[in-house]
Amino acid sequence: MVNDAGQLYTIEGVMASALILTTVYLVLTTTTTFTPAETHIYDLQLEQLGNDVLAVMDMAPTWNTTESRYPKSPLETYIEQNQAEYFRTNFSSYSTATAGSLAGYREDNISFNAHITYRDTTVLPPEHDIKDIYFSSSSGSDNNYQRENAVKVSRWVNINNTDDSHRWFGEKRNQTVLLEVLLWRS
Amino acid sequence: MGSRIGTEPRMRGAGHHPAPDESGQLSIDFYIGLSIFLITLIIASTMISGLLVGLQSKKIDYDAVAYRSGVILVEDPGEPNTVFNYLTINDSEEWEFIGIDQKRMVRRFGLSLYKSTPRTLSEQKIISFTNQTRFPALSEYRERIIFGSYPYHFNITLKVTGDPPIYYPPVGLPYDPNSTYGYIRRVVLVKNQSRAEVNMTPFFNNTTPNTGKFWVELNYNSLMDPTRAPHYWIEPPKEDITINLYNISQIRNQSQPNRVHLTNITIEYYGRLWDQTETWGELPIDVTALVDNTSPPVTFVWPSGPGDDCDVNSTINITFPAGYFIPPSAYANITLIRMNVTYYFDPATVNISTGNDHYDYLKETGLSPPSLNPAIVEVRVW
Repeated sequence: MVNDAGQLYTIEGVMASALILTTVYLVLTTTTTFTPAETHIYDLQLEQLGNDVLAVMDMAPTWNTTESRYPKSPLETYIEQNQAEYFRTNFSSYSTATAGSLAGYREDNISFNAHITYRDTTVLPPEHDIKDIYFSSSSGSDNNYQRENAVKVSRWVNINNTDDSHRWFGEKRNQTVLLEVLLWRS
Repeated sequence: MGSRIGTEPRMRGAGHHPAPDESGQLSIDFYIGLSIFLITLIIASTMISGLLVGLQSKKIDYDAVAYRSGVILVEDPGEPNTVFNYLTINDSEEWEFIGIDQKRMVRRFGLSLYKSTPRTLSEQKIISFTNQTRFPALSEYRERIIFGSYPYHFNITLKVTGDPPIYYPPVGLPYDPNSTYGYIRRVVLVKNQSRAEVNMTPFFNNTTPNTGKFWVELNYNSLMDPTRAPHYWIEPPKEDITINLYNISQIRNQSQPNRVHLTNITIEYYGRLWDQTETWGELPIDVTALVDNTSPPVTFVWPSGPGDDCDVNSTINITFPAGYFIPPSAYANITLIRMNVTYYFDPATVNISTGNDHYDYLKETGLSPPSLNPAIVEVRVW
């Protein structure tokens, strides 16, 4: 007796096995190669470098016993006294220097633009009391960033802003300001 | 197989004769369903494989290994390394002092001073790390800093900025600048060694009779002041200590014609035992001092004898190399409080003030404290 029902069940079985085999094949070939996307590595390297440079600049080179219990770091002095040029020279040289001594080693090309964000309590609500000012950049002017692929690194810096002879922004008090540096390869 | 022969057949049409049946062909909605399923499956598998193809690059792995090695180098103190703030140490507790015979005990390289001082590197650790007489084989570096079962090639370079910059010998294989490699660059600080220039003029007193004894005090409590960050500590066991006495002619006994005569140099220690009782004595030493900048240097060995006594015209310069103040194991149960580098002069030839007869390392003028110098570390892996 010829019966039609058999054909359908055979094809279902073949399809199910194809489905299972495809799934198993996909699973076996994909799980071992899962890593983050490649483009992020360049950003990570640049971000690491920027954070390193800010950390290195925010550390006093020496600490004599005759000095105060809190030696100032170069970065604190640069911001307190508006020494944007020193900041530019040092940030550029630390971020672009390479360790090679032989011929063929080249310095890196890195540009940056640094801004300072601080709180101004003399401005009463509802006006904004968080202010942002330009501090320094690799070209010496604020408008050097166009639209390159950039990363931003930041550091909170303690400054003593009580000395009127060199105070250049903010109120006359000790405060912690946020230094933000935009970095890109050029 | 798979058919339903033997079970109750479905009967279609009239009568019992087996007429050909159209339902043996697949129905139209099955075709539609199958097509949708196949199209979805093909699209999905194409998308998934396309998503993963870009991630199978070796370059990513090299970058990750370079980053990891960079982090271990500049943010880890290595292993073995003494626990934080433990003053009395042993040779085998700091990897940079483990010699070539016992180098198997070095489990991991790391250049930072302590776990709590990332990015601040110890000069002595850099010197030991780049010492390729101690670690001649590439595999010795690979198993202590690169890790992983794949035999990666690597190149690690280190430069301390300054004028002129200091280049340490590169570790690993030379690389081709035009090839593809995994890369990380770190900006760090290297703590250099302290040095004291002691002007002897203030220690002269013409009127007092004296013992001819002068000492330089290394007080561990102030050198490793816990209120300062360890970046700024002076740690005699782990660093070079240089003491240069100058203007020695200024303490000469003016009433006699001879030059100042140095008879001996010793190191006295003051410490505490486990039960907190205080103890002191003299460490067995072998000191080499450069007198008046003239070679050969004179040596003083205690307790076997007083050593080379000599006349001094202007300077006595001693550098105790890193590791010198690691006490011998016989003294391992003593927690040191301070050490005095003691100079014995012939009392007849000098007039040293009795109230002002020592120099406190760290507290007084003439000391160049350790300074932190920016440095660049580059790691390349391929």
